[in-house]
Amino acid sequence: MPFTADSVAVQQVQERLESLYSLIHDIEKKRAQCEQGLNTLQRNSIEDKGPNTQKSRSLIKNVMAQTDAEREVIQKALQKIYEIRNIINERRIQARTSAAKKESIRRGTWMKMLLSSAQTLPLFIGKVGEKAPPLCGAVPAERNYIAKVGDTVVAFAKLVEKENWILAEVVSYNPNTAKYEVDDILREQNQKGRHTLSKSRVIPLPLMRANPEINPEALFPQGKLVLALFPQTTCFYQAIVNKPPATHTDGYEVLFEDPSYPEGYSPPCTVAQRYIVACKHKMKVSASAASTSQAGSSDSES
Amino acid sequence: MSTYKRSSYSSKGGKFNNNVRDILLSPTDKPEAVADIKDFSNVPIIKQVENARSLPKYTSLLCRGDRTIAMDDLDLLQQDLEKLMCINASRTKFFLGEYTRTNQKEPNNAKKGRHKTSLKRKRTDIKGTDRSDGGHVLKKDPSRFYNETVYQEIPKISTPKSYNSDKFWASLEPYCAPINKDDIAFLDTLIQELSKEIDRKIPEIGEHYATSWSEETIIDEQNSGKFPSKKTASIDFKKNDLFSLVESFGKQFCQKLACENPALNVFKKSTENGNRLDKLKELDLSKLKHNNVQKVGACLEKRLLKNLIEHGILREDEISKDSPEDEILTEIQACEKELIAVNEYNTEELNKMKAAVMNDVHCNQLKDDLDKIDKEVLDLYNNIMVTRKKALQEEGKHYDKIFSQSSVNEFERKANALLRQQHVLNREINSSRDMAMLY
Repeated sequence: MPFTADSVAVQQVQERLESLYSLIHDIEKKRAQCEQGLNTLQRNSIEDKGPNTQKSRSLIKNVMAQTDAEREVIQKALQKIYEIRNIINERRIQARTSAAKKESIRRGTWMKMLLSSAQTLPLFIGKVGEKAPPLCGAVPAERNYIAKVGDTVVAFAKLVEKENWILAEVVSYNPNTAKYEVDDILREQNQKGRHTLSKSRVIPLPLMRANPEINPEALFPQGKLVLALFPQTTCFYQAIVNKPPATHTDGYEVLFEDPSYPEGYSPPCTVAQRYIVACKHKMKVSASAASTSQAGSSDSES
Repeated sequence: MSTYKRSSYSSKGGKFNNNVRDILLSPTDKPEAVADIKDFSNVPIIKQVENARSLPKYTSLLCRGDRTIAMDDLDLLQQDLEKLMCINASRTKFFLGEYTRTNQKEPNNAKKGRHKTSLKRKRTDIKGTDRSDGGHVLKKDPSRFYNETVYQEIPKISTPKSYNSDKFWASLEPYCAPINKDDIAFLDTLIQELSKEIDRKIPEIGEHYATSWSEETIIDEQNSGKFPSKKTASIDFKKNDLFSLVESFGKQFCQKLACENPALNVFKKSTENGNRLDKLKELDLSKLKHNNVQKVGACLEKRLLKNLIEHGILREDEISKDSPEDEILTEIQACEKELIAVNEYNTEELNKMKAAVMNDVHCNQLKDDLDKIDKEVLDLYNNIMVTRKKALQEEGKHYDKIFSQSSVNEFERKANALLRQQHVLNREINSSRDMAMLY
C-alpha cells in the first residue's frame, strides 16, 4: 500500500515541520534571554567589580544556565530535522525495493545529492566533555557493527575489470555468511547484479559529522592516510590529509596519491567529512586516482 | 588474512582513539583558548541584531507569519541551527573555563606542556607502527606533511583540571572575601549577646524538682496536642497522695520515719481513730485537693522535726549534718562558673577581632584611595604624554604656548602632590598591616 504509507509519511513530516516552526520561535526567545544575561554580565564586568565577586559568579552561572536552555531547544529543533530526513530516507528505501528498475537518476543529480547529504549529515554536538560516539567523524565503527539496510558504505567491489572502493548502499546483511549485499550508488552500474561482499570489504561511512571546534580528536589528523571520495566520482582512493577541517561546515583538504604528478600527489582537493574513511593498509587497495583508467590488473574477489 | 589485518588495524586505531580521546575529552576538559579573565566582551554569541546576516534562513523563517516550513528550507535551516549550536557549545566551553578560572587561579601551564609532549610521543609511535604494520611506503617524502611545527599545533589539547580542587577553592572563597558592613554588624550582635548578664537561678531542692518539673512536662504535652491526662494525673495523684506526701519530705530520715511509723501506717489504712495524725490527714487531704501537697508536705515535715526536737529524739545539729552534700548542685555551679569564664574570654576575643576588623576596613579604604591615586597618576602621565605629543607635532607654532614652563610646573606640582599622597597612604597601609600582624 504505497499510497497510504506515503500519506502517513507526509503526515508525519508535516507534524514535525509544524513543531519545528514553534521550536524556532522558542529558540529566539531563549537567545534573547541569553543575550540579556550576557549584557548584564558585561555591564557588571565593565563596572570593574572584578570577576571574583559573588555577583559575577552568579551572573556567569545564570548565563550558563540560559546557554544550556538554549542548547536544549536548538537540539530539539535539529532532532526534528533529522527525524524528517529519516522518514524521507525510509520512504526512499521502501520505494526502491518496490520499484528499483524504474528508478533512474542522472549522474549529475546523484553528485548533487551526494554533496547535499554530506552537508546535511547530522552534526555531533555533545555536552561538555562528551566523547564523540563511533561513526562520528574519524571515530571508527565498533568491531561488531553491522551497517543498516539503506546505509551508504564504501565497498571494495569489482567493477568492469578491476576492484575499486566504491560508494554503495547496503541492501541486506546475512549474519550466517557475514556478507553484505550492496548496490552501487550509481544505478547504471548495477546492471550486472548486486555485489555480495564479505564484511571486511565494507566500510560504513560516518553517520555524524564531528565539530572541529568541540571534538577535534574525532578528525583525521594532518598526514593521516585515508580513503577519500574523488570529486565528481563515486570511487574512493587513497589520500593524505593535508588539512583537517577548521569548522563544522568545512571539508578535509586531501592530496590524492597520483603518480601522474611529479610529487606523486594531486593538488589539494576538498572532500566532505562524510566521504573520508580510515585506509586499511593491509587491504589491497585500488590503484591510485590517476591510474583508474589505465590500470589493467584486477583482483578477484574471495 | 584480510580479516586479520583489518582487526589488527582497527584494534590499534581503537587504542589510539581511546587514548587520545580520553586525554582530550575527559570530563575535566578545559578549553585551551579562554579569553582574559575580566574580558567578557568576546563571549561567543550571535547577537539578535546579526540574525539577518549570520542566520539568513532562520531569520526569514522567523519573520514568516504563515507557520509553515517548506522542505527546501530544511538544508539551510539545518546549517543555521548548527551554527547556533556550535556557538552555543563554544559559549558553554568559554564559561566553563571562565567560571573555573575565577575559582581556580593556579595556572596549569606546566601540566599543559607535559600533556602536549606526551601526546606527541604517542602520535609518533602510532605513525611508526602504522608504517611497519602496513608496509605502506609513501611514494614521496611525506615529511612535508609532518612538518614539526605544524604538527605540534594539531592536537588541540585542553588541560585537565580537578573539580575537587575547584570545590575546595570555592569553599574557601567566602572566607577570603574582603570584610564588609554586614560582617561588622554580625560581630556587634555577637558581642552584644555575649555581654548580657546571665541571670539564671538554680531552684532549691524540693518543690521545683518534685512537682513543677512534672507539671511543666504535662503542660508541655497538653500544649503539644496530647491531652493525656489532666484527669488521670489527678486520679493518680489522689491514689498516691499519701505516698507523695511522704516523698515530698526533703529529709530522708523524715521519709523513713513517716513510712515506718506505725501510726502513719494506721493513718494510711484507715481513719478509725481520731489521733493527731489522722486529724492532720483530714486537714491535709482537704488541702490536697487544691494540689498543695508540696506545701503541706513541707509543713508536715517541719512540724514533725519540731516535734522530734521537742521530744529530745533529735538534735538540731544532727539535722544539718544529716542533709547530704548536693553534688549535682556543686557540679552545676562549677559548670556555670566555667561557662562564665569562657563567655568572658569569647567576648574579649570578639572585641579584639572587631578592632582588627575595623583596622582591616580602614586598610581597605586606604587601598581604595591608593588605587584611585594610582589611577590619577596614570591619567596625569597620559595627559603629559598627550600634551607632549601635541607640542611636538605643532613644534614652532604653538610649542611654547602648549609646553610652557608654567604648564610643566603645573604637571610637576600635580605629580608631586600625588606622589606625596601615595607615600602617605602606603605608610598608613603598612602600619595598619603591622598591627594586624601583631594580632
